[in-house]
Amino acid sequence: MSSHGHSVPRVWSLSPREIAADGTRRIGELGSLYRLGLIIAAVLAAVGVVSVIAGPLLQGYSDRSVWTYVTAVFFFLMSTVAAAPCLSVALRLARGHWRRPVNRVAEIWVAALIVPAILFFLLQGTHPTSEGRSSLWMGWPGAPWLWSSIMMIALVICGYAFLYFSSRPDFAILRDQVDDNPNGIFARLAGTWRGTIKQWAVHDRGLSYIGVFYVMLFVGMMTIISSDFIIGMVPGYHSSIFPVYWVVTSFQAAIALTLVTAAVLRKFGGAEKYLELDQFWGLSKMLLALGLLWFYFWWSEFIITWYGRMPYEVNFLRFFFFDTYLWLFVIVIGFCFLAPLLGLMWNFVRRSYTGPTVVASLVLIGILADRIRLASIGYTIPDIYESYFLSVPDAHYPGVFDVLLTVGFIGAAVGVVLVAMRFIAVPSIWEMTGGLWLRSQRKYKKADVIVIGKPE
Amino acid sequence: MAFREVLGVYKDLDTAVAATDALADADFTREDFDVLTNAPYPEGAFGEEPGRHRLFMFPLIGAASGFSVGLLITAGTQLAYPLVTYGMPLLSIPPMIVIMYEGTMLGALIFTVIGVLFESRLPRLRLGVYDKRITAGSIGILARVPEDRFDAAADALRSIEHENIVLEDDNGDIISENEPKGAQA
Repeated sequence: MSSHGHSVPRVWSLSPREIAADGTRRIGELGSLYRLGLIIAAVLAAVGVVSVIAGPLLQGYSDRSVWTYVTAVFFFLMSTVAAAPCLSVALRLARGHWRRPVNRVAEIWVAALIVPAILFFLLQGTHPTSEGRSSLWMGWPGAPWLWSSIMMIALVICGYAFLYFSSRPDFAILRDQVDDNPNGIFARLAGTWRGTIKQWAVHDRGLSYIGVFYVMLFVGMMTIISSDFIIGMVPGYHSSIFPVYWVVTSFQAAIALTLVTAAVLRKFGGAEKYLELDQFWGLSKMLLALGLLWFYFWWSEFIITWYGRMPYEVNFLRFFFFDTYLWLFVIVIGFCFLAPLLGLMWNFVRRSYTGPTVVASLVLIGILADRIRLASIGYTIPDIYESYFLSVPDAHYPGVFDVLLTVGFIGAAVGVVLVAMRFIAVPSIWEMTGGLWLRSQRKYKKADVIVIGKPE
Repeated sequence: MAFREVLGVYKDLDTAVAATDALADADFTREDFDVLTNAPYPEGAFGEEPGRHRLFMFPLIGAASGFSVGLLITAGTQLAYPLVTYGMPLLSIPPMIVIMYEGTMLGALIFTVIGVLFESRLPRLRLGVYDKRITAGSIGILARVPEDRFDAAADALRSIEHENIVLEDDNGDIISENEPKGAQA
């Protein structure tokens, strides 16, 4: 044990050959539990597809409220699956070493970006023209459909490019060590990667550029979503803080998703050598900070409306927080703010596997409740062309199809990630190996410490 | 002058660095060799030439192109078909910014992807002189030298304890001195 009371990660005592061999073994030996998970995810995905066809699609686009839960699951997946790579980008740019096993755990979720992208295009039919109502687009030709679609397509291209370029050195390892077929999938994905000095230099810079573009596109896309799907749908609702709340809470969900994924991989994925206390400790500190930011942005928006106290503002407060969706809001504030605050304020909880995992699971439930609340707000107002929000609608409760499609599409996203893990090593082999040269384990009197080299 | 490649494959960092020293002793410079690894090493660890590239140009050009297209679509159409509404300015700048942002990001992204592929010379048809042991953790020192100095480079690489030597023969065929994990054409 080190002087901090946490164990020195075992992975740094492995050799490059051992890390490469372990990574290729993890790809080659996906066990019965993996197959069971894949079957369950496939069944859930099928249930989701059938539910969206039998429910909203058959009823058409004339009543937007039937699309509420399609919107909710789209919001949830954008806030988790699409946000997770942003965590990887941020950690890469910070150049910390503890993040090496975490990066791929976060960015593997980009594989499932196709699921919210499909839902996004299904939901385009629920948008009326932007003319005659408050909108980000101010009646621009083709808005909102054309321009938000271009942004979404750019985000999807960027996400998959990021995942591909990040994984390419690992594809080369798998091409050479697992699959001898020169026309096999790993040979095709790796291309003629040889690992020259120039290839590594371009890889490092290129990954940084594409990662930064992904974050910029994600923030832009989430701003458009918050505007088109929520702010623009509530008469008289003008908020410059809400898009920031929307993005910040997505980052919170991204950290929570990464923590839960890390815990699952540690328990069932053979990654316990890589994902140790260092990673859980680091991520839990970020989760605590984002929990506090959740409250800050929510409060900033709430207090202005509360002080204003115009009749339509009182209606906002009743509709959003204190009447129609009170219980959803209680879950949100409890799980997204109070759970991280009261749980992760204690160092012994942060410095454990169970504590951060439990809190992260609660945050994910809280974010799902928040997205259901916000989708219900955006999709159940009868007349979005009114100037002010003068009457508070009743709460929208889910039907059977709503529950099934919510569970189904979350299952579909998990299924896509499970399939991706058949081809992409989690954690990354090259990134773990690259960390070996810069770290060594030494004795400092009676303690074991890690000495880290900083070449830049 | 024709150039040929010879690859020495070494078990660890120490022997790989010794091989680069042997090349230096044989009067080869940093420009004459490259290093093949399965993970990035700190720059200059082998005394090699830094990997120079112009990748930064690609996103700049792409962003400028995308911004220009966005500006052309937004300002161009409004100026081509001017409709003054309630005396407001002809150019509605806030929604223009959103579309120009999209154009800029999309242009920068597409050019960066092209740039990464181009700069890492990925559209090559052959791996060339290579050994699979490199992705298992070995280190390759790849000398690319003029025909008349080829034997000197190969001898320098052989002089250090190695796992394999892979080279191009006179006909351009690839020969591995230590099969079965040999060269990949």
